[in-house]
Amino acid sequence: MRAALEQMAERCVEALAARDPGRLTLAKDARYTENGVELPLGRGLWRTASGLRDTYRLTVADPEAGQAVHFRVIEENGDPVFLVVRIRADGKTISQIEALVARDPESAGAITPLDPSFFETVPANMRTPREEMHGLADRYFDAIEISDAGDLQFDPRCTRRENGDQSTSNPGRTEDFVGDGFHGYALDCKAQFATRMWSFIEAVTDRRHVAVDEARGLLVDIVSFQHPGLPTSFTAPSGAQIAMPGYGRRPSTFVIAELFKFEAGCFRQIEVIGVPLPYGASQGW
Amino acid sequence: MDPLDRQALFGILDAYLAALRVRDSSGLPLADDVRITENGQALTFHEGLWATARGRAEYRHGFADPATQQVGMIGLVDEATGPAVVGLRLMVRGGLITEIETLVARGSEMLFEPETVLKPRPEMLDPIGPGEGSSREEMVSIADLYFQGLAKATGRDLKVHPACNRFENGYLATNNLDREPMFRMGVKAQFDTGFSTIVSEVRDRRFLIVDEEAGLVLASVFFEHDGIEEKAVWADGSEHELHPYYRRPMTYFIFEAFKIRAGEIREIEAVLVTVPFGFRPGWPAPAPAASEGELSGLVDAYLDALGAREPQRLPGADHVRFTENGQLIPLGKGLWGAARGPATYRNTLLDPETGHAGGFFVIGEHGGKVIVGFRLKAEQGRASELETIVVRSSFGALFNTDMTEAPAPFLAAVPASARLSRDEAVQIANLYFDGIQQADGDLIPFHEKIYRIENGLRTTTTDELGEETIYTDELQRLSPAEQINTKFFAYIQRVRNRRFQIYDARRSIVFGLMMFDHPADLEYVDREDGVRVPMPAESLRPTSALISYMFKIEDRKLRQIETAYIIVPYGARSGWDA
Repeated sequence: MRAALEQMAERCVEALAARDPGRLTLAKDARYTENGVELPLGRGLWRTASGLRDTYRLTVADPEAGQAVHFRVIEENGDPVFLVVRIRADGKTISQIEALVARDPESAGAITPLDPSFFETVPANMRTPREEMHGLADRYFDAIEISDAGDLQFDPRCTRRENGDQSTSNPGRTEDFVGDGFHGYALDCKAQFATRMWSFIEAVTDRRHVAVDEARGLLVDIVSFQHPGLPTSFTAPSGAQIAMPGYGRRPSTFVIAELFKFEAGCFRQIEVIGVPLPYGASQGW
Repeated sequence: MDPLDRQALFGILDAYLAALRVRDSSGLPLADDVRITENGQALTFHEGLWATARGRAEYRHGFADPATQQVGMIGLVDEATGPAVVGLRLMVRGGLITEIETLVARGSEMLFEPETVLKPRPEMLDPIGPGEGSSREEMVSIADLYFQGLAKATGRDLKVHPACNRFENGYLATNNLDREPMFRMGVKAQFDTGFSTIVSEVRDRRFLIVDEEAGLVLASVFFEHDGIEEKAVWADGSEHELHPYYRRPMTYFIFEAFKIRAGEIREIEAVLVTVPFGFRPGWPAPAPAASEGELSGLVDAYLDALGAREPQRLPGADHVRFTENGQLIPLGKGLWGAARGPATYRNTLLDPETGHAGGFFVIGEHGGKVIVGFRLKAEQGRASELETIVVRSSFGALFNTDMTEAPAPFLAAVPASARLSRDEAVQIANLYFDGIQQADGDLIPFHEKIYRIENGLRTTTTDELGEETIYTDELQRLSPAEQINTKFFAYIQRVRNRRFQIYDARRSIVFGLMMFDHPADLEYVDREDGVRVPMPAESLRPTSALISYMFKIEDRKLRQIETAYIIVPYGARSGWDA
């Protein structure tokens, strides 16, 4: 079941790269959205996709939810772009296709493979049940909203990448969140929350738990980060005022696919693909 | 309360900007049900610019329209990240603001020189002198010609003064000698290059504010870039590399202000915001161009008048622009001289939003019968355009005038929840022609029950066509997708002048007219599977076809197709193209 569903998601992305929706078995009322906008199947990326790359590639299939999500770098008129595709399937019939296309050729071209932990099976005694994963992800998004991770547990090895760029435990990254002895990206996942550096994300809305793979400890959520453009700065623990990054200082909504790896109820690794939309725009679902 | 005059409307605009500057809407005259959008999203007075504005909220170029009680501007608002270029429209009713539509271009746009929008420009500001003004309708139609020119990729019909300049998010995008070659040209020269073929669709045109006194029109429009072209091919055949920005699906949401003097556009100021491909404006379409009753009465009057050969019985007969089979002829000539009513078959649809009716009918002509595909445009209850395709004989032995009832799928209404927007429906219909042109039936979303009526005969999944027709026994049994995939239609190499002006949302039907080109340079096609497919004898001489098509869309798929067409000399025009 899981393997078949995984294969359907991969076939769907292959059909996309071949610009050939005719290859898919679709339900009568099948819907397609691209970056939150409903399009007839065959439009948008279906007319610009030009190839697939294999460096960055993972599928999370969830027979219980009838959904699968595929992370990939796809070529669009030759340029690499990040692609996340969610399908909903009933048997062999696809009823929903949701594509998030993050058009960031520089990062997508330089992408390194997903962390090996995403592909490893979790020993039976360290698995996290589905409901618990849902709860942990919700609390993670709550933590962003209130700048407080509470008792959420992060593996010391846990890092997060956002459209290919590592945004935690990354002292080499200095384009934002730097000043007066503060260095946001150098902090680890958990330590970042309490600094209030993420407080420009006012709310994480429209949260959907779209696919779970308990054996590998994987959960994919699709959510919207609301950036009202405020606050424009935050007070670092040292007392320094640090400017929010530019994209946090103007109104925008990011639709986000967030891939979590859990081990024993602990965040082991996080991978994020996000697409900016006009502030207030819907996910289309 | 009396309607507000020009000065009072500007007073409301100034009060709005003053309140925005301090992010305090409490003192504004807001209606209880006021609706505010920013970049197409409905927001509150605590979000968007109302959360981020600081410092300046100013304009030099404003527009007031006492007739519709609207006022607007293109100006600048400071945010934490710097100045944003802002287009704004306010609607006032009884002194209260009822609608607020905001378009905000921030620093991430390709062209962006925000400070320029605050420079007073004499051409925008100078009053309209005696004899230089145009009526509201003329102003809108001059502005619309600009969008039409862009859609058709030609400057030929533009009413633009040679010195006209265009500013995009403050950036001088014409006659700008410091910039790359495209920006060094004037507006008309730019259009004449044909560069705008990269704009795959110009949609959701709305003429928001018509300021008759100042000669200004503020319009809103969406330019859709489907990103499929690798290079831009200009009208002179030259190829031009496209910026990567235009090699992906993207859409511009645009406010565009036109200064119109002495019947010409003298200056253009635009706000352009990049939005996801296919994005919607967030405001309903403007009021219908004609009521359903008016349109229905007009179609009845047309058929009665035609059947009686009395053109004067058609309301608007004295002014209607009439073509028959691509020829511009006086109403009363052509079929009007030979018809014998009443119509014995009728499959028509009405589109109040665009003021159009159209479809097919069968009517007598002397001893025989003809099939007619038609498009009728109404203005103020009268016919203003009448385009007809009169099928008198067959192509490939397809011709049947015995049908009496429209195929049932065309008649069925679709549930309100399943209705598509005009653009969605047209996009789906348009895929049919993309599929034909690329000889790829899999590009087209066909419903499993699809079949096609062609000049009165069913030509897919049937075994009833005679041997003399263009469809062999084998071909006629195939579905439309299968037929296209055989490459049999590869002789149709271009589908041009596509015009989908009629959409019946209730029944989910699109009607359009277009031209097929058959250059006759293919005797056969070698298919990927090694089969050599001969092209039909009828396609071995260069011809074009003048075509009308009706599509029923169900579940976002083509459920039923009816077409009527005639063969015309190769390269002939429809009479309605640029």
